[in-house]
Amino acid sequence: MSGLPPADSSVLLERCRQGDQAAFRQLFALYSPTVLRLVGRMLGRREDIEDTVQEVFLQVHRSLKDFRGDSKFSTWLHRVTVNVVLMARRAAQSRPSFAPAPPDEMLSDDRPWPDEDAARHQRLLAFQRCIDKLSEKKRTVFLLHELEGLPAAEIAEIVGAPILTVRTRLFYARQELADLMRQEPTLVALADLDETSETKTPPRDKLKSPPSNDPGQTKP
Amino acid sequence: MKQQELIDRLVREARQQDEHSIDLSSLEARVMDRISQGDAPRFPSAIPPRRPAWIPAAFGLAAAAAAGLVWYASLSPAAPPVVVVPPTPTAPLTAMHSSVEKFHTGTEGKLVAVPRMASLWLEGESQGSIEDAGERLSVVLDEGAVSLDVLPQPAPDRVEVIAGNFRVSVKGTKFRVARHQGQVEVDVEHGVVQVTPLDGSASPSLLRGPTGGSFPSKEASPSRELKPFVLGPQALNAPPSTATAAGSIASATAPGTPHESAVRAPSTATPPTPQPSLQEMRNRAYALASSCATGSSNVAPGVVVTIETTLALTVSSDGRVGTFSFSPPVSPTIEQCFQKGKSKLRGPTGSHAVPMTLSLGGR
Repeated sequence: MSGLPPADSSVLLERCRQGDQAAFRQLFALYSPTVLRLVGRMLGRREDIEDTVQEVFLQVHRSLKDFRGDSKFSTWLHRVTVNVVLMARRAAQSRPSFAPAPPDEMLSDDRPWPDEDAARHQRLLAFQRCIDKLSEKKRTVFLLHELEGLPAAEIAEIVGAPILTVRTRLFYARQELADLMRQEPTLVALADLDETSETKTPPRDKLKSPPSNDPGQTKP
Repeated sequence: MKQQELIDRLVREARQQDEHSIDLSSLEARVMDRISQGDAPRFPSAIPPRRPAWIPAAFGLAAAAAAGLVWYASLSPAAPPVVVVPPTPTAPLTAMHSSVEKFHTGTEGKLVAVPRMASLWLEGESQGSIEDAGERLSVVLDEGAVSLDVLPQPAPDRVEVIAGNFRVSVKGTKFRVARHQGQVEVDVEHGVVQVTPLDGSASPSLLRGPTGGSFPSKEASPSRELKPFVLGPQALNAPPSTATAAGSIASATAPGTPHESAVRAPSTATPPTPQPSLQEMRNRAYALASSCATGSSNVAPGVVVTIETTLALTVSSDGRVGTFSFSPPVSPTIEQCFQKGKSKLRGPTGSHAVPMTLSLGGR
C-alpha cells in the first residue's frame, strides 16, 4: 500500500475527515486494489471478498477521525483490513454452510485453462490450502511478509506484537508450511520432480496429479 | 528441491497471480451507497483502539520522577556510587529506515528468526540489540553469546554481529559469537565469516569453518592472558610458530639440495631414487600445508586460528603428487601455495588422505 506521498495523503485524509465524498472516492480508488488483493489472499473464498472489501472501507470511513497519523496511513489501513478479514473468517466459520464447495473449486472459474496455467493453478490451490491450515497469527504474518512484502517492523505495528515475536511466528510458519506441503500430493510431486531433474521442465501430467505408483501419498 | 525453496517459488507464483476479476467501480458505488445510508460496520471492534491521550503524558511524568530520584540519590553522600557504563563503540548504522530491538535473555535462550536471512539463537544471559535494516541484519552483542544459522544468499555482508570492537560479518554460514569478560570468541561450524576490528587496528581475518578464533576486545584487562581458541586436539600440542613450521619444511623437502634445481629437473632426467614411505610423505605434505597456512594468513597479531581439514592426494606411478584437494576447503591462497610446493613431494603410488590441523597466525 504505497499510496500517496505523506503530504498529499494528509491533505486527502483531512478532506475525507471533513466529509468530502469526492475525496473518499479518491481514497477508495487509490487503496482499493491493495485492499482487494490483501483480502483475497487472506480470505481465499471468492464469494466473501467483495463484502469484506466493502466492510473495510465502511470501517475506514467511520473511523478516519480516530487516525491521528502516529503511523503511516497504509499501516493503519493494513491493520483495519487484517482485523476485518479475521473477523469475517471467524463469522464464516460460525455460520452454517449448506452446500460446502470442495476446496479446489472455491477459487476456480469457468475459463478454460491451458495446461501450464492449470498446473500452476493446482499448485497454488494446494499452497493456499496449506496456508489456510496455519494458525491465524502465523498465517497473518506469513501473508503480510511473504506475499505483501511488508517488513517485520511494520507487521509488528499491524498485528500489535513485538518484532521478535513476528520473526518467530514467521520462522515457525515456514517450518509448518514445509511440513504441511509434504502432505499435499501436488506439491510432493513437484518437489520430487525438481529433485530428480533440476533443470528439465517437469512433465505436465505429473504436475497435475500425484504419481500413481506412490501408494504412500494420500490426500489429507 | 528443498521445501523452503519450494515455498519461495510458490510465494513468487502467488504474488504474480492476482486474478480477482471484481469490478471496483461498482464496488465503490456500493460502498458510497452504504455510507450515504449510514450503514454501520458489521465488525466495530476491527478498528485499532485509539490510545488515550493521557498515556504518553503519564509515561513522561513517570520518567521525570525516576530521573529526579536518581539525581537525588546521586547527591546523597550515603548513596552508592552511580556507575555510568560507557556505550559500546559500534560502527555507524547504515540504513535510514531500520528497526532496533534490544534483547536481554533470561536463564533460557531465545530463538529469533529472520525469514530468508537467518535464524538466531540468543543464548541465556545474553544482552544486546538487533537491528533489522531490511538489506542488513546487525546484532550488537553486549554480553553473552549468539549462534547464527545464515542462509546462503547472493548478497554478502547482510548479517553481522558487532561484539566489542570487532565486526563479524557473514558470508553464508553457521557460527557462534560469544563475548565474555573482554574476550570475543568466534566459532564457525561451516562457511566463512570475516572478523574486522572496528577501529581498523588490524587487517580483517577470514575464518573458514570448522574453525574458531579468540580475539581480545577493547574492554580486556591488560593483565589478562590471551589464550588461543582451538578446536582440534593436535593444535593444542603444536606451537603455532611460523619459523618452526617453515624450518621444518625446508629441512624436510630437500636436505642439502637447492630447491630450484629440484623443481626444474624434468622427470625423465631424474634418476630413479627410492621413494619415501607413506608416513614420510604425509609428514612432508602436512609440513608444506602448515607452512602455506602460516605464510598466507592475515590474522591479527596475537591471535591463533586453527582449521581442521583433510588433504586428499593422488600419487602417480613416478611417485609425484598429481591432484589434491582439501576437505573442507581452505583458502585459495593456501591451495595455490600447496600447488607450487607439491612438486617436491614424493610418495608411494595411490590415493592418500592426510587429516591435519592447520594453524593461522600466532606471529
